[in-house]
Amino acid sequence: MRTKRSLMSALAAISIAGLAACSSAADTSSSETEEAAPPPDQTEETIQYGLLAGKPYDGEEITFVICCQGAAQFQAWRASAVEFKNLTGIDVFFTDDPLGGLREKLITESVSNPGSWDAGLYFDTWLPDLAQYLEPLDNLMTVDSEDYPAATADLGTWDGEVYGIPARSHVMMMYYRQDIFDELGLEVPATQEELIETARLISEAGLGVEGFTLNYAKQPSISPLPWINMVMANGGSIFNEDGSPNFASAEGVQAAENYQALLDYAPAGAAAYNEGDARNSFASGEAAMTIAWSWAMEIFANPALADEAVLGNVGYTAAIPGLTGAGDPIAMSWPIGISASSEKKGAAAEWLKWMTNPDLDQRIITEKSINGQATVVANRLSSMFSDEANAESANNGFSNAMGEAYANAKHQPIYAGFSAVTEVIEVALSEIIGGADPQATLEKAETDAAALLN
Amino acid sequence: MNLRNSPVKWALLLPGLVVMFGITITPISQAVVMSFRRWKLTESPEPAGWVGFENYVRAINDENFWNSIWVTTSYSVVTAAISLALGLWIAVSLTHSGPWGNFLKATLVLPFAIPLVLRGYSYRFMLLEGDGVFDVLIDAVFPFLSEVVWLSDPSWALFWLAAPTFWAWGPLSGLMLLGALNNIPEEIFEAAELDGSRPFHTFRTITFPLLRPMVLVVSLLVVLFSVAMFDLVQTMTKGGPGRATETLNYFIFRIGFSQFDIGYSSALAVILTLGLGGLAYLYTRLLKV
Repeated sequence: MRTKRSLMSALAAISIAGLAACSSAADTSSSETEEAAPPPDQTEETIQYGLLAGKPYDGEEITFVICCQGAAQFQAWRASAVEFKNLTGIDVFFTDDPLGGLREKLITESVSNPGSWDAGLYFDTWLPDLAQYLEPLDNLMTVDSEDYPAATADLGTWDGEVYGIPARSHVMMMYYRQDIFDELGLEVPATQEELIETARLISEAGLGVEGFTLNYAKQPSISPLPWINMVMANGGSIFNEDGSPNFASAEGVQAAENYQALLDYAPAGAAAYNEGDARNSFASGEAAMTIAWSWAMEIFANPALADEAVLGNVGYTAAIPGLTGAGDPIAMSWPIGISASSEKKGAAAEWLKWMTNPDLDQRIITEKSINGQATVVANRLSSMFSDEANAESANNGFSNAMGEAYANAKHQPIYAGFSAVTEVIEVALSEIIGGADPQATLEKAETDAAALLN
Repeated sequence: MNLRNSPVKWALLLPGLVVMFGITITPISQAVVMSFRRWKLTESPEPAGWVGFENYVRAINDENFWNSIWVTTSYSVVTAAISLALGLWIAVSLTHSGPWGNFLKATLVLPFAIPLVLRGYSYRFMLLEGDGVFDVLIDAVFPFLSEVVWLSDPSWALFWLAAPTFWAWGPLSGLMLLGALNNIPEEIFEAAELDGSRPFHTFRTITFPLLRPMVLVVSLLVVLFSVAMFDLVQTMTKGGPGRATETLNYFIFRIGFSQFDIGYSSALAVILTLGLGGLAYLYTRLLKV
């Protein structure tokens, strides 16, 4: 009995000691982190793209946090890492994390395991939460944003500091089946009312194709985007100038009602479609119209992924239907940044210079012969408007359209507390799709979001 | 050497106990400590000050917390009820079932062996409107349900969230109950039959009361499993439509790993742990009665 009591006491002591050690480690870990060596002076001799001459980081390996291994652009980056190594001697390790866990990875690793990653890709809307874990790039390299669309150029900037360079940019576009429109004598809808009517005509035409498809299912950070774009196309904004939520404005409610009404002319399961399902729904010929990111054209123009009836018959416009006429599309970007706790900031900066150089940006959007790397994603205007990118063998004029779309595009509001507020919008839209009253639901969401932001 | 009364047994158990304490007591203790602090990773990599019971008061005033309690309770009740009903039916059916029954008994654990993530994705695809095998079959048999988009309807979504669980727990419960059933002396049933008792009466007055301890054990296991379930929500519904399938565990995950509010999520986790502990205590009391 005495032995048992002693043993239990010992175990309790061990646990308490472990707890104290962990707390102590957590409280002191930041002070124990070594200061990274300062990067080479930016006035040193450089070779192409601002890369430093003399391979000062030869033999180093950097960890690049990235997701979505199958994305064509990312495959092209991976392939270019060989060339990068030849120029700099730097190895790049791609982490290939799942998209759903990318934000968690960036933040939790920065807190619990500082220095575990060097460069990383992130959503523009994550920047306010992530900025404290990122290194201001002006300390490491010259950042030139002139060749970027106005809508994306500053998406790596927060609170006056540049934390990232746009590396994967998209603009929202409306896609439609040109063949079906020609057959039924339809015009591309300019207003949301026309969009609903056009969808109805297609659904009721007996062609076995529904009028419209969209990602209606609740999906973190993604499902609110179509509604937000419709609000912007209506001339509205989801936030007031003072930063308070403005979901239940006249534009917001009308957008939600139209978003709800379009479901009547969508495929039977559309209420459960996530973004990928909606894209596949259009690519398979299930529906004749959709609103999706510009990169979706990779799917719609791919013989391996799109139905033969869809191939070559996809029309597109950057004019998102609004209340009284066509409105501006949303643009977004995934900036690439450098970890503030990285001990290889200089090498990581070299990788950023390489990844964002204009020649690589153009080469990636133009090269179509390498399996798995054919992409329409470009970040620079010079790439989008180049003759090579718009050649018939490349993107057949789509890049021009994308560049023109950016001219009128705006990005969605970027603010601290995005994850909590966007979740409120996701829930509201999910309830509206389930039949809830848009006005009342958006008013409640507005109240909930205001409480979260205060 | 009789280890039962020897102090040597504690020395042999010590390494395992240290590991167990280390991976359970230590993180639980840390979570308890964190629940009294304010810490959002999106604001700072270091915890902020002590806030007393503020996180617990926030939970009490949070309608989303109470929604998740309701969803979890509903989910657990549905899962446990159907699992037990299915298990009882399987157990009674397979008693004295011969060689084919022995083969079926061997397959009862197979559904449980399939990982939850795989079950979740499979059910999601099988419920796809118009294409999923479940949807097609149900629409063929019950045409009045053909308009229902299963995972977008709040009531049906919760039922289908429970389906992969009772699909696995039902047969496993049956196996456990079968073992208990086989331990009931045959003479009792013979005596009941001689007295003219009908099968349902025998089941209600003799079989079920004798199975009660095992029923309680199985229902406790199913409820504990259901309360802790996360994978199915993540793969099938992400808590939607609306918050109709946002269980407490998923709610804690969302607060902790989407909003990175470590203090609040720790408080919620402590509440969940205390609730589960209370439930387990209640069951052990019922078992002793």
